[in-house]
Amino acid sequence: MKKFFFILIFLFFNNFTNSNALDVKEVNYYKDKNAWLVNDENLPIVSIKIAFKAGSGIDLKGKKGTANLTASLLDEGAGNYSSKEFKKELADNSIMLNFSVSHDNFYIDLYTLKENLDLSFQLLDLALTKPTFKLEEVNRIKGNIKLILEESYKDPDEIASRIFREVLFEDHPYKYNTLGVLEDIDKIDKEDLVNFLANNLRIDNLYIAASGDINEYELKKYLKKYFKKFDKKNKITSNIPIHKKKIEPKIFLHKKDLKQSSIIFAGEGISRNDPYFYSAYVMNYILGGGGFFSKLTTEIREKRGLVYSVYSYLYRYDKYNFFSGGAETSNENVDKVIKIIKEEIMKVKKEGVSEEELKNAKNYLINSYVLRLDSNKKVASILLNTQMDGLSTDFFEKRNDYINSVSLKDIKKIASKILDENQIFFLVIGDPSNLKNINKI
Amino acid sequence: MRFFLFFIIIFFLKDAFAEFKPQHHILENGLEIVVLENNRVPAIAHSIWYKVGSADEPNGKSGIAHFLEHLMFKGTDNLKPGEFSQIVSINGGKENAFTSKNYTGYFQLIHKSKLELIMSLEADRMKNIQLFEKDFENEKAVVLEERYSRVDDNPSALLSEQINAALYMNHPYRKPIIGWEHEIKNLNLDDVMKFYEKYYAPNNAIIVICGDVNLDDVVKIAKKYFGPIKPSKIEKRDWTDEPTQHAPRKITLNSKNTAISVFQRHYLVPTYTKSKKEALTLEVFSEIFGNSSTGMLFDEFVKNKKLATSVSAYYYPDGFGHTSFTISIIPKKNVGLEEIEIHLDEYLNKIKKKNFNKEELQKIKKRLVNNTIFAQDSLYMGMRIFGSSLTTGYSLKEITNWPNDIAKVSIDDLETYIPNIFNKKNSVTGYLLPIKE
Repeated sequence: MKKFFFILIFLFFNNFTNSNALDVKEVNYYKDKNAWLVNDENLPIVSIKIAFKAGSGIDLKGKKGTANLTASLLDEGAGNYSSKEFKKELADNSIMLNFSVSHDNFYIDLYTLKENLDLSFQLLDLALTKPTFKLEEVNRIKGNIKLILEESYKDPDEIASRIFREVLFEDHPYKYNTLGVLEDIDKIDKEDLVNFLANNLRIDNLYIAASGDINEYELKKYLKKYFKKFDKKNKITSNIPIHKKKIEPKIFLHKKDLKQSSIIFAGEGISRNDPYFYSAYVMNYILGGGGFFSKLTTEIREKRGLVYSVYSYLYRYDKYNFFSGGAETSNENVDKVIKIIKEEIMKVKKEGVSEEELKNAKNYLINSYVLRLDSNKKVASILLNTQMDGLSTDFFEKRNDYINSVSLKDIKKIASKILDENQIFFLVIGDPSNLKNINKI
Repeated sequence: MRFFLFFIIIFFLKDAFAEFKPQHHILENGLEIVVLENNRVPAIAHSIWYKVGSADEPNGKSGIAHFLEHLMFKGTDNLKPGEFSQIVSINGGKENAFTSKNYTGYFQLIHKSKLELIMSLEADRMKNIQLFEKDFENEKAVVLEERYSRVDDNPSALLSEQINAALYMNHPYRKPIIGWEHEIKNLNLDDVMKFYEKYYAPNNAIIVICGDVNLDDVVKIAKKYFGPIKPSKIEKRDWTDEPTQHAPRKITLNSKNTAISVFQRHYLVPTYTKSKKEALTLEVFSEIFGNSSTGMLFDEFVKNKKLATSVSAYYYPDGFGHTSFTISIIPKKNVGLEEIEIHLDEYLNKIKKKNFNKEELQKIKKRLVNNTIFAQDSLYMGMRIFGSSLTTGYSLKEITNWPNDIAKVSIDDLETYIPNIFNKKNSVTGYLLPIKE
């Protein structure tokens, strides 16, 4: 029986599914502006994802929270619709329309039935151009936001992410929660919201992607009709400064009475344009990105039973890249878990990874790509992100070759640059025993 | 769940599937197979669902079903611990598993060319898992860490666990799926293996595949790998009923780990299997009443009376016996939970006599039925909805007929069943209160 499995595995092993056959069309809707489209008529639905390069990172001092508050209020009344009427019109027509912000971007997510596309775009247009910002709704939403911001001083996960940002970003705008700063929320007035829209929703920082039952002609028609007006003459451009940070290899502790401690670590990351980007990507998968049998999971969970989950990842803001990870473990194990994370990081730095590990990682990363393309929502997201990364539509043909070309040498090279216990800090939230040389925070 | 890979929506409406065209086959040994063809990408969501969950655990042994789910990855006669996952991953697959009160499910998302590989692996671990004491103890530590992460340091999960144990006074649904901490600690290898041998069998399982395959190919492969496995004698579930409940219960959890007060009210109501027409009516009503931006509860508490910042209500019809109709309200900053409770009780009394508008009802039903179209926009969703419904008492026909059945819900039905929901004797009220430091 054992032998049989062996053979079976080999039979199935090396047939790479190399084509990520995504037929991406570029739809020119205004001057040099193109939207990316995958036309798929399997279901009568359409997913449209839109981003303006304007997120909470450009919120002014004393008004932190403006971008998010604006986004949160766009579906709370627009044109002749009251908040209730607007929400009801969306729900009764099964239109899912969401506005949100990250530190760098303002996102619109529209998910709708083909038969309601006209109405969907009309409502989207009203929300973007004629939001009413009625005082009653503004105050209600402000109340919700303040409540969540208060939670970042009480909820263990929220505390962890707040302090993590404070350590990593010091005085850089990325330090703040995208929701803003508690004391600032009430200082934001209607004029700030109106100005945010007027200044930052502009065609020169606009990205659009669509997937589903909509063809080039139809998409072009809607975009021409509703997005031309975002070509604005009097631009006030806000920029987020580049964040430079020399990380000190300290262990920070925020003491809180909890059964488990949560551990977060972070160090230098890598830019999307770096020639070693894919080497870093594959390396991270092997170290701590690869679910069930990454090095970190194998050593810390599978061999020692110290955690339920441990992971690492690479993250990119527009103006800062970092490598990070985390784990949750009972208070008495914190020192052990930190020690093993450091050891595993240093092992990859010094020895690289094995040929087998590299081969396994490539097999996963290449063969699993098709799983990211099984729904209109996922496809629209990938189209948007790829576009915003400054790549072209032929990326989908090349992507697997990029992964495949990563060598053991490449991984060693990038590991020697990124991975270093002297360039990584740890943050612990909880009540760990036996942890030495800590900086209380 | 064995691992956080991505977020999973826990409560699916039975937002059904006029458009789904399931194909069905039963092997001689009783293994059921359901295929939902979807040819968008050359991939499949493959899953196997065992009709056993936390409600089947022997008294004093809570947590077995979920613990066993973890151990299913720890090796068989043919595979070393962890090798299952390694093979899936090397072949470009994503996988995970989940345990509920009623079922335990295992799934893989993978290229369609790997169907045979995956089925051979699932067939292998249906009967051949091989466990060693050392791995067992190691995984027990992992499960305890999972419990601490998900429940013990999480006040809303802790409150839900307490409410659940009070809502069901006698039915095995009162146990937490992950298990009570002290009982997990006392589980031994023998307990788990007995449970495995008793419940893991072809005649107690359903394979659900959504993706680019057809039934004939699936059946051929299933016969080859699962065909030789003999059926077991599976006893009919004999779960204890809830007695008449005579008194409302109230639970208050004070926590240092939250800044937000939460009011909850749970009513014990019938599942779909217990009372079909009633369940369908409650699904419609929970949308009218509890939608978090257009529902009646929102109008009353957020818009009109300005007592709350957010509200919701949901009803989860799956299961056997009774389930919960749940109301959650987050009060505004200076409003106390007692004030919310007093007002809610008055308001619910009024609703019992409410007249509903026919045109509004039509719109609400259309919302629910439209969700069936969106549910087809991923391989995972179709697999998950069919698997969970088929293991919680729905027939295939009942799932595909769901839109028609929803369309039949009438004003009369609403007026008949709604007054039954809000019987305070059948309820638990939960308060989550921040401790000021």
